[in-house]
Amino acid sequence: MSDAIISVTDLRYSYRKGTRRGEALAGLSFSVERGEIFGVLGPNGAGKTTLVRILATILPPASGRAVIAGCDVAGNPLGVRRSICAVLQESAVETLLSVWDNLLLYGYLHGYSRARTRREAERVVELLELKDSLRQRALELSGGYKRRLQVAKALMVDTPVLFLDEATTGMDPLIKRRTMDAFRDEAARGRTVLLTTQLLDEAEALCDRMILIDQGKMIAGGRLSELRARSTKVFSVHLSFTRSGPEAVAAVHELGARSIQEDGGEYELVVEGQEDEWLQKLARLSASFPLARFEVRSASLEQIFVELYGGYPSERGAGA
Amino acid sequence: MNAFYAVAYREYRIRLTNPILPLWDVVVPVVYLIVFGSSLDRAGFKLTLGATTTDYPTFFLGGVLAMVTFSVAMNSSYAFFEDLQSGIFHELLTYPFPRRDLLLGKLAFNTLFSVAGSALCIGVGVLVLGIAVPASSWLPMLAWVILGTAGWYFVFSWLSLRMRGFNAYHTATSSMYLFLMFVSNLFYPAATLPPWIRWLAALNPITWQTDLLRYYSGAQPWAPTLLAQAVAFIAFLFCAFFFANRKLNGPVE
Repeated sequence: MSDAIISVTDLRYSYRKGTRRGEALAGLSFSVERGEIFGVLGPNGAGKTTLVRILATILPPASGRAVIAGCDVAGNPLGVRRSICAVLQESAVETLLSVWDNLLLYGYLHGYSRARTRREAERVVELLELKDSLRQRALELSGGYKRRLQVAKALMVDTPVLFLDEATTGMDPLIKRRTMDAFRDEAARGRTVLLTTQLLDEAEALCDRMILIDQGKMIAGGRLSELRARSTKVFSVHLSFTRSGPEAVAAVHELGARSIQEDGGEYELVVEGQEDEWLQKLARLSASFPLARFEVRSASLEQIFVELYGGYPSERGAGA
Repeated sequence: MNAFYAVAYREYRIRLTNPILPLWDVVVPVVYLIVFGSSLDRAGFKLTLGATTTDYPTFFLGGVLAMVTFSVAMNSSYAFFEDLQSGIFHELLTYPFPRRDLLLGKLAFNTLFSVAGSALCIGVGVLVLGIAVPASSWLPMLAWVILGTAGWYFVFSWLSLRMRGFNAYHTATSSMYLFLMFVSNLFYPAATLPPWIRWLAALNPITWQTDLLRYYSGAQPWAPTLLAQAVAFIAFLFCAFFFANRKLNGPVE
């Protein structure tokens, strides 16, 4: 039996900007199981933020249904809000208050007692290394620090569902790693995390399942292994020669790879086609220019992303 | 912590960071009362409202109290606009309590400024300007101060949630402020206004509230229209709450 805590069915949302009308979500359907880390990926303007805003009850859907923890976002938004907390894309901090007051206030506004709020605030201060800036006004924080504070607030409370809209944007690598570990811990404790991101390495490292959306529509979804299976024709080949030279380089370029990157005599080729066909090509290449090493790898999420979206934005002439 | 108190506490913490603004709300009306009240009194201004002839300070006290409510309401609701600009607003909408608590918690805290400002005005009026306010009127006057603050606060909150951009917001609110205060009986009796403005003033809720405050402060006698004005003001308050609450519960882009 399915243990879906988020269930989205044929969700639609239309917007109007001046005289321009558009469909930000065009019939999106998916479900997320309890304790999962679920990714929503897509380029700018794909509809990720609109989706989070609808699920967080900020925007009402035009049609379709979204149910969170048994509550319909349109019919029982308060019920939904009692089960969620959200790190939104805006710098949602109390700019005039100190970091510490931001944390305390967040706890109080989520119905926590003074003692519990203080305890949870101290925990997240330790977790995300906020100690040095506790007395600083949020207004004075850098963008990355504000995001850290936003994430710290969300980690203070124990709602069953956590929405993260590009939550790690601007964070330094060490804090980002710590934050991602914290998200994993939350999921391990049974909390469901729905995150939107454009950072494919983040999605690859965190998400149990994900959907790729574009112009409000889902173009693929599943586990990373399932997405890889959908794009079997794309994989990467790493190789190096025992003795590299201009002829060997020319031969690599004649193989017909989608892209070639060279770094200190190491070549990374993103290729299309059947694996055995490429093994034969490499064998022929090795006969003329002996290979020191070669390795065939599954497509990375980035390669899958590019393949499913039909190329990089510049290649497909897409705007934001 | 209960959501209502938590919102009021948030307001308190934010207001503490800029004590000038609340001070402005509390002190400016009393300065108006002293300056206009004493100078026009010395100039010998007397006003006749119904069968009652009154001096200017007594007449003006009701208007100043309406001014307190109006200013506090406008500055309190401005916080919604600031929240929208700072980016916290959308997060506030995701918190686990009815959104009306955002409206009411904020109102509850800011009403304290109305009450403080009004008490100061009444105190100064009695002690400095010699206005004879019956002790039995203090509570009804404060009640109308609170109701007035709420009514205008809901109106300006609705406006704050609709407006985008500082220039548009300040133009709209400043225009409303001037129009509503001057097209009313706040500074002068409505009967002295040109007829076409008199009609507009009669439809202005500030006029209703000021008349009621004037009745309680002893500046004008009882008239049946006061009952109609009280009912109309309560209806205005509920309508304003309805629209502000609806806006807060509707889509906010």
